[in-house]
Amino acid sequence: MGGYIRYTIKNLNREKLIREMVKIAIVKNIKLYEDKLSFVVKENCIKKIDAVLQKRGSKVISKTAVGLLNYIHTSIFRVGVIIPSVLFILAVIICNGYIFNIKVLGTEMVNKNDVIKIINNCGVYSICNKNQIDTTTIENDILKIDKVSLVSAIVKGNTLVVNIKEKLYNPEFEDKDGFLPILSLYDGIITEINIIQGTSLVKVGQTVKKGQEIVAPYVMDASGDVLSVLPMADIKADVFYTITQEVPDKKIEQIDTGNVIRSKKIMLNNMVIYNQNIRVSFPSYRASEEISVLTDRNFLPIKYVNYVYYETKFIEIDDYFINNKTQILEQLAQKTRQLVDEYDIIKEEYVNVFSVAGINRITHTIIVNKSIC
Amino acid sequence: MFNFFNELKEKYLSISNRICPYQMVMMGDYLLYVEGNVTIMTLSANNIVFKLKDCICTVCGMGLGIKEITENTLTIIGKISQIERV
Repeated sequence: MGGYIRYTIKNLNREKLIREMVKIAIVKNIKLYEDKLSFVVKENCIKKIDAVLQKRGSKVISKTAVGLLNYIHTSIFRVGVIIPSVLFILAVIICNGYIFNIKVLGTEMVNKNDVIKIINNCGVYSICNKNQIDTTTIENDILKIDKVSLVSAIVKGNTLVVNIKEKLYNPEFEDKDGFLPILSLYDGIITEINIIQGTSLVKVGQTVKKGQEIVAPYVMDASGDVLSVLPMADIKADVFYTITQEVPDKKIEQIDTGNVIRSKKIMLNNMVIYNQNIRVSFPSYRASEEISVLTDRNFLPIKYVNYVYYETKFIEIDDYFINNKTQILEQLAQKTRQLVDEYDIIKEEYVNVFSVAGINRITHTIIVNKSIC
Repeated sequence: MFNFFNELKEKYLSISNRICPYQMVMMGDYLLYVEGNVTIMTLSANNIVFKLKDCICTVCGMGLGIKEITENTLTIIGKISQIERV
């Protein structure tokens, strides 16, 4: 550290003194004050300068440090500088023994909170003594997470840095035991098989049921070894959408005769105030009820109930199916078409009618060629 | 110390004249810089006399002082009014 010393001296032959000092040091800021002379020399030359001054018989009035050295010399005795400096140094020393932050890097699939929980379980929190941190334990505990491949935990400054390298999943070779076969989504007859990966369990022309395994999750290599793979395939089949309805030839219908009986009842809230109580003499009838509130809102909620009884009789309609066949078939076709998906292309559509013992069994079938996996 | 003395010599002096016993530069009337074998002879606030190799220089002015002196350089600051070479 290059400090400087300012000399203030009293000497009669100043010029000669300067000539001698110049030979041994760089002399700066030479100033004259009546019979005094002041100059500045480097700190490392003061011994030689002192010797020259002594030799020349100069009287040194003052010798003070200047520049940074002077500041350091004087600041040593300043309480306002010493106390904060000491406190600062103490704080640095104390802080150096603690961590104040936990940084977890490389978490994409792994939940960061889970990692921090594991770190906390190891007794390491955001503010923690460095001596309490066992990075090996932290690494081993984090490695227990399935998706973690590599872990490194280091204390860098006041931060615990946990760097995680997650496992890279290759769907073709990872989780070999976790592959499931492809199942048929519909009932149908196989028309086309395009296997991308896996082993086909069905053939073209074969009937499959919904939920049946159609592609197995393995392949057999040239040496005969079975290799598990993720099954991938595009298998098309003729899918049958069928609805069956049974319609009798004859039908019994209940029709109104036109005779009506009316009965009235007046109620206050649920309490009957007036009841006409007419006896219904029809052998068969249907009833309807009309309720009207006589008063507005909740003020005396009086209700007027009108019962109407319609006399009915049962008649037998012959040739019901023959007369309404077109309408019945159309309704059934509409119901069947509702089962077909929006973008399905209908390949074939037909109706079977099977009559036995006065019952007509109608089957409407739509055939759609679509992917079943 | 960095200066352009060599460039000036190369540009304006012949080869034989390039070996100068001393070199001097003045910046305004406030600073005088001298290179050469300098020996202080007289030192006061109004007058500084120094000896060079083959001459004696007198610097007159007010509030004169030596900013820096070594065996081969001299830097004088102050209100310089006259420089005389004898």
